[in-house]
Amino acid sequence: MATSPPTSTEDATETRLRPAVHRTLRVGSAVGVVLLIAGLAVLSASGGPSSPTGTSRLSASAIRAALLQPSGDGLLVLGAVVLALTPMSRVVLATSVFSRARDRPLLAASSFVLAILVLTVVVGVFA
Amino acid sequence: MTLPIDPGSAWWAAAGLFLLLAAIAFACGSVGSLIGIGGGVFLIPILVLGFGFEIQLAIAASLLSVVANSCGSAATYVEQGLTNLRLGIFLESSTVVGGLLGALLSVTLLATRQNLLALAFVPVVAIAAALMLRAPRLAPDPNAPKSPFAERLRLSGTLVDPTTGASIAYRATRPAPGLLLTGLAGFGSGLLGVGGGIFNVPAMNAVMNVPLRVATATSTFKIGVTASAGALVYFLAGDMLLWLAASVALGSFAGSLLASHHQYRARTLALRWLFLGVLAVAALLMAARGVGVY
Repeated sequence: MATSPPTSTEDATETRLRPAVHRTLRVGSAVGVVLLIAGLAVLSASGGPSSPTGTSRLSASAIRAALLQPSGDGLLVLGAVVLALTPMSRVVLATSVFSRARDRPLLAASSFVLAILVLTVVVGVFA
Repeated sequence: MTLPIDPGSAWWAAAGLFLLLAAIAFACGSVGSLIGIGGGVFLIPILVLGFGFEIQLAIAASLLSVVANSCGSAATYVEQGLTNLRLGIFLESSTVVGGLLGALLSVTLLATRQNLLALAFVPVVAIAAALMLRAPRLAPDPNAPKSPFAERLRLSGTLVDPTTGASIAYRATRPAPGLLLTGLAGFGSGLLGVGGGIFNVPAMNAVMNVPLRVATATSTFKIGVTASAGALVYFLAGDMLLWLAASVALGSFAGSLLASHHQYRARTLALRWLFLGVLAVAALLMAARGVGVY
């Protein structure tokens, strides 16, 4: 597929940020999607989910189990985590680019977004 | 919760249900991506009313599908230069706060009150329909008042319309009302699992003087962050039905890829009427569910 040239004028920071954000979103979503497809395929091949209405709770032990003992559910846990972390990773990337460019207003905005995302995870763990 | 198809009964039942859910999410995700809303506002009523999923599970699955949808189409829009990255990151600062508050409210106070969540969906859908009834601002207003704050943040840009080749310079204005509206979008996203684009696009287009295509692309870019925060809250709270979330995320991702590559060919007027029709039916059915008659 041909790459379209940028269709808006932009400053140097945005020009640096744009391809990096594009790559992050593409790679993160591709890895997440492959893991989800593999997880659903394994679940189907093994006769469907063992507990069709059983929900999952994200925890460090759930991720460890998914990594050490690959299964349909484990692949789905990893896929969901990778997918959920992909937009967050581009916030980290933007913060780093704005920091290097000393773009204080946008550095403040992206750092604040990052702080709230970290707080979300902390609140989610302890709530 | 009784499902119309038991995915645990046989491999073909499981595969068939996964594919059916993915196909539905594909349709919701492609329309959602074209108009910058993610598709959750269509998906949740279908999962709750059509399949009998509990609304909490539908919301959690919808949030993951919005993340997938955002990642798929935002990557294309960013590459095409349609997304205003500075504007998107600036507005995210209020959206994520709203998203966190909405998700926390949903998994704590409203966790056992499914009828309230169903009823809360109705005004959101009504507001979305009202906003969609307003004609979108296709070109920015050249006489829009200058905002020193927006100038300092360099939120302006120039869009080259690929259909006409014309350069459209725009200057974003009114950053404070924009922040407030996108904060509300985040709250709606966290609470109800919708993308939040139903508020983001009109906020950027009608209030902040941003061209519709840039508003749609920037909304798609920013809803991923809010939805991912919400999805993690639900996942950490143990409200994620993984096979459901995976099925709809995959369908929505595929839909977003299709839509983002055909955005210029879309007839936005026809889409708007389709969108309104689906929303009206969804609002009526969710209201009926909320008061216990469906």
